[in-house]
Amino acid sequence: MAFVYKKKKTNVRLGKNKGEKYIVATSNQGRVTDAELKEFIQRNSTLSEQDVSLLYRSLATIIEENINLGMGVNLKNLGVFSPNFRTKGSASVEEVTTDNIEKVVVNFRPATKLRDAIDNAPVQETRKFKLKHE
Amino acid sequence: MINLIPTKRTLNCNGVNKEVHLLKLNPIHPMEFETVKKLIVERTTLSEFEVGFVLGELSTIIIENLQQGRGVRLENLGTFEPSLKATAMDSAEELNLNTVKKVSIIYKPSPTIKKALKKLKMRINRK
Repeated sequence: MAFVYKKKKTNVRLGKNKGEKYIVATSNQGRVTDAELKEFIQRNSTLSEQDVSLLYRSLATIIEENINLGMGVNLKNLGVFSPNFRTKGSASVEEVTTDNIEKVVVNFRPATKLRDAIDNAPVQETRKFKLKHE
Repeated sequence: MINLIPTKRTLNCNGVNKEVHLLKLNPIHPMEFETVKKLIVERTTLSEFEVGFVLGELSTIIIENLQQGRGVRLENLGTFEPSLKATAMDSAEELNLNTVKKVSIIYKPSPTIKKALKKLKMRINRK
């Protein structure tokens, strides 16, 4: 199976090439849920569903606690979760306050293994496709 | 408490250089995987081997599904979705694999983590 894309019509409003354009976009192939993940792990180990749930909850709590400290969390083959924020600039250092912060976010930086796997994933066009105007 | 430090940057806006003062995070090395494993072991009845196994399987499942264009939703952690960056073309017939510039992953934090982000306490270290 491959990474599937679809063709999409869009309206480009910024830049030199404005107007109606066509781009490739990801085609929704569905989503794996917690229940499926837990079932897979249960089937391949001696762990119960409660054990796996508890592990995920502990992991999320650890990430939250570290974010509260301004610290990231490195999950080896998955990647690094770290806090970051969007901020407005000020003309002088005295004007810089925490009110300049517009939004706090969690950045996810994928691990090399994950990034390479995605970069090298086979890509194909979806077979079921029809542009809206056709 | 998050420590922030004021910093100066030169931004280019329409060809004009402008100096602005911004806040940035005081850089701290992220918590390492081994420490995460040990903390999970302390908080659960699982052994270090079991925790390592589950986290390893988790990474494998996420990679396999993202390679197939499927998103993955993790309880309390968030969602990982595949994404494409592509060049816009004038007609649908011009679209092909060569217009794909980059395949990447979008992470959307769970409501639990988003809620925690809103309650964050921050202070500026002006020294």
